[in-house]
Amino acid sequence: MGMAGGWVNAKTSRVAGSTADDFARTWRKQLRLFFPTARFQGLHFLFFMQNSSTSPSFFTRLKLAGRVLTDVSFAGRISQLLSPAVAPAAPAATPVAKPVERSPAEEHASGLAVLAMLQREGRLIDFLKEDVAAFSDAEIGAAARVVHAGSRKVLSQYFTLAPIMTEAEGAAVTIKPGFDAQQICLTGNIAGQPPFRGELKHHGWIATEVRLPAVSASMDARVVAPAEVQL
Amino acid sequence: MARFSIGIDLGTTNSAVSYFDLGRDNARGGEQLMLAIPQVTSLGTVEPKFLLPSFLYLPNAQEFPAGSLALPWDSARNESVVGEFARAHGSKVPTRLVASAKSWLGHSGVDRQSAILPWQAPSDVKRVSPVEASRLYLEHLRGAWDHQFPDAPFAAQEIVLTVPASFDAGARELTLAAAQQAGLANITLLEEPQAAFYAWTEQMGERFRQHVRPGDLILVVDVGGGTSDFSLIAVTEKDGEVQLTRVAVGDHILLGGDNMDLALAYSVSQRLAADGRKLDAWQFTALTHACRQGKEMMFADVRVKSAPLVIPGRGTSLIGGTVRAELSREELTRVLTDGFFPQCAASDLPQTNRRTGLAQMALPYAQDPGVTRHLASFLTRQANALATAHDTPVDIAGKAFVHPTAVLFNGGVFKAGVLKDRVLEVINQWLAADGGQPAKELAGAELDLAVARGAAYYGWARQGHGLRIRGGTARAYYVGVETAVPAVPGMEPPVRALCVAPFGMEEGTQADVPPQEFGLVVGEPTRFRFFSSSVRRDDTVGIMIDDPTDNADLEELAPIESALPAQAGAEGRLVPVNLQAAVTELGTLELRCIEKGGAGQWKLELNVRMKE
Repeated sequence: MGMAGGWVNAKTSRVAGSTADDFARTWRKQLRLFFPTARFQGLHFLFFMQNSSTSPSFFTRLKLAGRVLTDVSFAGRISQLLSPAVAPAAPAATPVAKPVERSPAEEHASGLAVLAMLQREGRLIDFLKEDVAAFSDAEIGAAARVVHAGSRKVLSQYFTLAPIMTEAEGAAVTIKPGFDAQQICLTGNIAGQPPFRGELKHHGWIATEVRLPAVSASMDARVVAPAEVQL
Repeated sequence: MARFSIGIDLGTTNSAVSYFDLGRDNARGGEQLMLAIPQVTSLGTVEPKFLLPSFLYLPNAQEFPAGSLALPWDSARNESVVGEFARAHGSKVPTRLVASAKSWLGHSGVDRQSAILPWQAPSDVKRVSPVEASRLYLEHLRGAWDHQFPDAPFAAQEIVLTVPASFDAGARELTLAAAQQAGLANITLLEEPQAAFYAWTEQMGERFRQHVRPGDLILVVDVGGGTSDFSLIAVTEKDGEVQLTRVAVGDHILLGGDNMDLALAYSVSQRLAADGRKLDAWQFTALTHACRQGKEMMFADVRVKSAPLVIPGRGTSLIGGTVRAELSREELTRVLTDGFFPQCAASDLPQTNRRTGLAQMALPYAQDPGVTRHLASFLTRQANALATAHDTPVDIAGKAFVHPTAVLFNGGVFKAGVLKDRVLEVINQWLAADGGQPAKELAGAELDLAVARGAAYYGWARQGHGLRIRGGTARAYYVGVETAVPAVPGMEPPVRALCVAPFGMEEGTQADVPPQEFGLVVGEPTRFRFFSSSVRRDDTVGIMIDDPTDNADLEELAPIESALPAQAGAEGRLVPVNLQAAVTELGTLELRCIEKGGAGQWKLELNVRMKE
């Protein structure tokens, strides 16, 4: 028996106060402890390592991921959708449903939800909207701790980010023919054919897991932070 | 037929659920499954977490948009919300927040079945009783379970619900009542320190026997969010088999990890106030969070000398509105390590003459924040009790206090290695001074989740699979009997305490019937005063104790009441009865009136209303 209903695991409540690193460690540990990998592969996870030019846009992926988390049967279908080789042929006779008109806010609800979480936990919008010119570095630094701690919590809670290249930055690396041009960006003197030899400047990041929660459709996604009125 | 044993840790600040497939023939080892509990984390958002904060928020009808408190199994929910959002939002609206319902459940100074929470709520808030709040938490857990395991309904499983070892008969009864109102059927109660010990043995597997040997005496120090709970478990051997006996439990101490973070925040906010910077309630909550983070950072790395505390302002001006402060190592040690875990002698007693300044509510918080002093008093009192007991498995001869050989820690507080080290250091100083061997730590405990896991394991072990801790009731119970003396105006007749249930009664057993006889009037309520003792181990049924109210060994509980049904025509009839106590299979105490020379039998209700 697994996590029927598709609720993904995440341990957070007691996390208040532990560092994000601690949190990530604990979370991974819990994950191993309680949910042997076989149980949730293909159910809760959506890997972004694909290389296909027809793969969905980033935000569509985010939304898919969100839905995968909450809808098991959908998760089953999505894995088919994402692997064209096994996609079933659409029955010819079925009329194509007219796409429902969706507002930009509805279309990008999960993007707005990420903004809302970064604001709620890390006050990121307040920070970016504030004019920093008038403040000293020490004052900005103090506020940055709030932003850093909260945003880091959001990042580790909802995303797993891994380096694209595992070599140490500064190391000499070889880029083989057929490399993924989206994952690896070449700079400097590019000439001839791979394999290319170069120095790793930035190891890159890739989201290997997305665990965005489902947000009720009755909520207006445009509200990133409500106005607060003290009575 | 139950498929799972479900362990529920219904905690003061967090609840958790673990489950065990009863079809297994071996223990789970490290793979102890926890239920992910979906809960509202912000409006319109439901996320699963292993811990459900035990907070209940009662919103105003206009406060939240429709549908924003919906749960996957309850889409129309709008009257109350439980869990993370309740805690977070409630900190901004404290008059609508129910917190620490469990502490109220154990508080005999209030009527625990009347709607009294939130304490000091405005009149338009629909209040709930401590029992109802507990019921709502359990209903949430039930909903979460049924949503994930539709084929194995919660109510049909074996459920083990944990209670503090220090909970008296009344508080246990009320916990059970809340569970029954939440629709739970097959329930067993288990003491939390025992559950923590079970979780540890399961985690250790067979290695457990290398760490624990016959002759050992294990002290469980369980400091939760709101309570501190101590138990002693003796390891003995009989016919080559290891036996575990819970020999003593501590008194109910309302002192826990939440007090510690608050104490730090008070200390810092006083410094800020001295500089003319006053924090509002919202900022104070932020400061408490910041203190907790700073504390954990400094406890994790002993080289860090101070932690920056940043309290954001409420307005959009984050940089301009931020208040900065600092938590120094000296302050952390003074307030927390020395304040809550002071160095003290084994003969020290908790101070009762001053308030700590933390009493915000009408709960009877411990007056002395020194956990180590409460521990000293527990070990000393129990030594006196065990020294005179006839069948003690513990050797007390020549010792000033009970000498534990090992310590098992439980509770998130002890994630700070510094605090574990301090407790061990203090205990070992006592032991050295009393000529004993140092006690070792039983390492490797999972501090946050052990109680739920151990409870689930117990549900499986009690079906004959594993070692069980024996011990029975950790208290003896007495009813107050007025002595017949000529009436003197202005003088209450003296009361004596009649022992009806001896120490150590096992589940599913009943005590002897004491010879004393009472006359009950049919149709009229009769009340008895009710007492308990955690140290009088040798009192047998029928023993009378003079002057129980002045006896330090006895604690008065809420009274009990007879509920003799009035049959037609029988009102006013005087029925001679004897009292008898039984411990149910569920782990609660039941008192009965048995009609003398007749077939009548009535259950006495533990009156949970205010003790007068």
